[in-house]
Amino acid sequence: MHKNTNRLRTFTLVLAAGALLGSTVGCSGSGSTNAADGSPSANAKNPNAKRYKISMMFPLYGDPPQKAEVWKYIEDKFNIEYESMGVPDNSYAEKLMVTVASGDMPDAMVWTKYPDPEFNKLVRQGAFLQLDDYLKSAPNIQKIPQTIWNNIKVDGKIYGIPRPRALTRAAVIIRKDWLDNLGLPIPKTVDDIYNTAVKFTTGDPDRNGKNDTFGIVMGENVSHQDSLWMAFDTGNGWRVMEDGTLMSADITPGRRQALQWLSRLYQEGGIDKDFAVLKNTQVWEKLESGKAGIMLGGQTSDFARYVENLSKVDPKAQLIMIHPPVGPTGKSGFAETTGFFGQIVLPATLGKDPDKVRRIISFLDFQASDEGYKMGRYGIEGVHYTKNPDGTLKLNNEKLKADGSPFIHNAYDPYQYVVTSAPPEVQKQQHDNLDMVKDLGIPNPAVSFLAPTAVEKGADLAKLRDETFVKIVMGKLPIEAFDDFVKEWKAKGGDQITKEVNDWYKSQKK
Amino acid sequence: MDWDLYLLLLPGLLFFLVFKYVPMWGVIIAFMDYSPFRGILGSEWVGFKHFVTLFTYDQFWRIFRNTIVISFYNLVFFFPAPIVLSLLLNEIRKQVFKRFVQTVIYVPHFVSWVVVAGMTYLMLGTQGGLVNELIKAGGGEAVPFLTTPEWFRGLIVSQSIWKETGWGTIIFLAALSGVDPQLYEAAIVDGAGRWRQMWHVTLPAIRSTIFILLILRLGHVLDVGFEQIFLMLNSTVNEVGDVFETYVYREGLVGGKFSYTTAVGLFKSAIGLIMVVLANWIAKKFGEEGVY
Amino acid sequence: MVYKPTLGSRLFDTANVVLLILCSLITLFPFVYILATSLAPLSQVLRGGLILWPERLTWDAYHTILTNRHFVGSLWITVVITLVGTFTNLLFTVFMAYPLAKKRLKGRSVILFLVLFTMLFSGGMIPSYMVVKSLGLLNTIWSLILPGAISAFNLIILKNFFQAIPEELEESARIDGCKNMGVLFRIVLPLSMPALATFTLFYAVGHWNSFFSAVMYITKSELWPIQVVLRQMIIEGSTQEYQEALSSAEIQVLPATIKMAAIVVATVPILCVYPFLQKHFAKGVLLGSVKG
Repeated sequence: MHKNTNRLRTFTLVLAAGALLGSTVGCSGSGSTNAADGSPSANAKNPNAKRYKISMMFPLYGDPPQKAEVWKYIEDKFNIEYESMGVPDNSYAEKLMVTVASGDMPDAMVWTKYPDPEFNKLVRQGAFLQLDDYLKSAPNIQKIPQTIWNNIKVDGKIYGIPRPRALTRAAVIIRKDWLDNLGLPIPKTVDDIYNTAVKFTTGDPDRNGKNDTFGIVMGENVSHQDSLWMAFDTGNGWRVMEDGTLMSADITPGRRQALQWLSRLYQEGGIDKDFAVLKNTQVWEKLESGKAGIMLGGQTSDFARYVENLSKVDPKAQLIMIHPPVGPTGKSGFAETTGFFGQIVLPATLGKDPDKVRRIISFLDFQASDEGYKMGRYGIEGVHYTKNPDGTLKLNNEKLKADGSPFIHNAYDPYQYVVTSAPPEVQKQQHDNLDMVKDLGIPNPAVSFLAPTAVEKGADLAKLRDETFVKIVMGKLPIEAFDDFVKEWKAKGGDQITKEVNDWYKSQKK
Repeated sequence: MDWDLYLLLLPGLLFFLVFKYVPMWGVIIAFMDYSPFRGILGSEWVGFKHFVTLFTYDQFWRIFRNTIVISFYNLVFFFPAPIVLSLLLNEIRKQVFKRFVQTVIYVPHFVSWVVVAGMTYLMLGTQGGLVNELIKAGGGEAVPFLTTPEWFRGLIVSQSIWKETGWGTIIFLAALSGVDPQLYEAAIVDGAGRWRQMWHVTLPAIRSTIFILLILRLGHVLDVGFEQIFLMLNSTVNEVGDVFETYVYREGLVGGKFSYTTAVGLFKSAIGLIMVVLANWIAKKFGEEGVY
Repeated sequence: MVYKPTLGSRLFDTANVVLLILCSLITLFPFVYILATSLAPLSQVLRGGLILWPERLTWDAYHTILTNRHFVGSLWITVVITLVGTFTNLLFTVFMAYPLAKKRLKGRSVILFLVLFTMLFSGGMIPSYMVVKSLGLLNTIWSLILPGAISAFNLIILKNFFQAIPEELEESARIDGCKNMGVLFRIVLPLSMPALATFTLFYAVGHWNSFFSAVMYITKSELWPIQVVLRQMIIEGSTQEYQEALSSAEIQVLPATIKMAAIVVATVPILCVYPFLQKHFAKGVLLGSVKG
């Protein structure tokens, strides 16, 4: 009995302590200083500057940004109290929906999905602010290429500010030391790649006496084969056929040829036998652990990490990026991306306060300017970096990483993918590759259009496609299964989608 | 005399009202074309349209079958595992050993499915997987465990058993520790051997817990654990592995199908409800407690 | 206990011990892998394969995590949430389970059915979010505690445990002049220690692992609990968007050692709770109570 009341007493004390702590913790505000209005560094554009509270929501891929020097700089420069709402990216989609439904949207949100029928619906329901006029006074944002603006317009008007990315930034990565060990030249055509892959599997290229290597990395649903598809001229999303109409890249003759090539290579062991179960990180590990020698659909930015990790496993390893292979009809390249990642939208209710909107736009415009972009990447001179006598920058990478960046927008910089914390040789390789691939992108003629039937049946068609392709490559189905797949694809909605896309395509050409 | 009991109930009732029943209006979404921006009042009523779409989906029966089969396997193999294990643990006399085992076996509960899936690959992959390397060393051919439909269901259930049995024993061990040792003594005096002791003393102590857990599990007959299956699913095993939750996930990826996914969820819950009501009724007929 | 164990009995015991050792090994195995990987040098980890023993004890991964300022802050918050939350849970659940364990309570069946109903049907994320928002709980730790104050599952099982306590004990307490509350605190709770220990564990683990609610309800990263911070350190990188977002300033994919160290750090503290609670699983709690 005594034990019981003592226990109760302890519990109550714990609760009281916890509640006390809980309330202090729960009440801890963002701690931003309540700077007096009219601070000396008030925004020069607006002499009667009112200090606005601005909140921005975006997907967070690492640690949240800290209220350090850069943060304070922008709060001063724009006379704002900035609230950064970084949401863990794997739950970002749900958070977006919940935020819209709650009727309480932050002042700016990054809308990541594109094309998104839900987004278009929301625009038409009046959820977001039309930005055409406001953007007229945003010179840096205007620098974004016109094609991208055309892609994001809904009913001819602008409702979001796209965050530009390089159109093409992929890479074909290969083990140079393996090529040298086996006396092979750099492969140029898909046939070269084929033979190289087979030799990588059978010829013990790492000279360790064991049969533990293979040619090409691949992941579930035949992923990481970008340059291969383009070499076989499958088209990117949709292919402009000889008669001027569009055909889905899933069913083009080029796709059939590529699959045949892949299945033959699989039989000879040139492809990871387990590819059907591998997720992305597992695919990259195959390259980094020295098991695989070729990556046909890699990313330039990842190259730095592959080099670093691989060097820990095998200091003699040498990775290089080469020109994408040329296919039987002479084509090569990578699938062009949309050219942006996410667009920044403002809630329509903000229209009641045009001054606030203008402040937000000028802040975003700064982020897209050279100065702002440099600050986002390199920080503030003296704090995050110092200038070397030859003009290059000496970065304090630790502090940069610890501080993070409060910016959610960026300028158009094709060299964004060069990893600044990598050794100079690696950076140069990345730089060179970005130069090389810049014009090798193959565009998707229907990138901005999502057919209504695709919304309804798209998931199913994609599943059918993945199942068929994987089984063909693995040899569980013969290549003739592709023709059956095409028939089924068409019957289950593919024909309808093709018609809708072509109707749209024709309407755009006028 | 019992007004103070009702007073005790109050906070709990309030909780359920505010946090469970007030938000229940969300199920209406299943009968509408819900738009998050317009809200419930601004969205269009479509009646049973989504349910029709679900039932006429040409792969509906495949998904339904897969879900039921995996659920059934779980019921037959996974559900009894913690019971058996806790009974075995109960027979151990050395407290130190018993405590050690108890603590160790529930550790996998804390390992995320992502890690479990990754380890499964490291063990069962054909290239370098531990099991297959052993098979190859023994002169055999690698078995494609992960890309053969026949292995899939067994794999899923085995993973569940591995991960959750230990955690599941905790409840039973709690129930077993409430058994009066004098009952065992009395049984021994009556000449009962180990098995009869277990049958007449141990099992009855956990019988009602078993029944309740069984009824509750039947309520989730169409829930088979999204993350686990999603991670293990690949294009070669879709025909046995595609379940309601992976289907809903896929559809949701394309864009904004709240109403549809809510409808699917409602369907699953409705079936679960029927099962629970049935099971509870049957339990009561057998003289058991039942959940309500 | 004075009795002669038979040969069959002894064989059973031996087999039992062997089986349990086997179970312990199988369940300990994944954690050994995780622990070993977290302590192994990067070169060994990158080579791939199943690691069961680090070549060289490398503490880098742990260093990275423990010196991360977000991590330390989130650890503190998580401890607070777990303590306050678990206590809240127990309070609410016990207060509601006790009256529901009395068969004579009017409306008992209806209430239990309504509770069960919430296990099957839910309004979904959007309505729940709106309730939490309208109560002003967003961005406070209470948003992680109140909406989950009672787990229907735990409630039903606890009610069951309470029901198992013999009536005679309550009667004798009443004769001594106890009212319902007195019976609860003097008789029922002390005799329910195993059950209370069990649910303390369940609730505590629930709080410790909370992730999704934190992401939905809390946008102030200073208030994020440990699971959110740790997952941000371990980008799985399987979404298309991840590929799109990749740029030097935005993402850094961290090596497997850190992933594993994060798992260890995230689970070891909560694993330590169980041994503390184990002493409440001692047998014979009811010993002597009927006689007394």
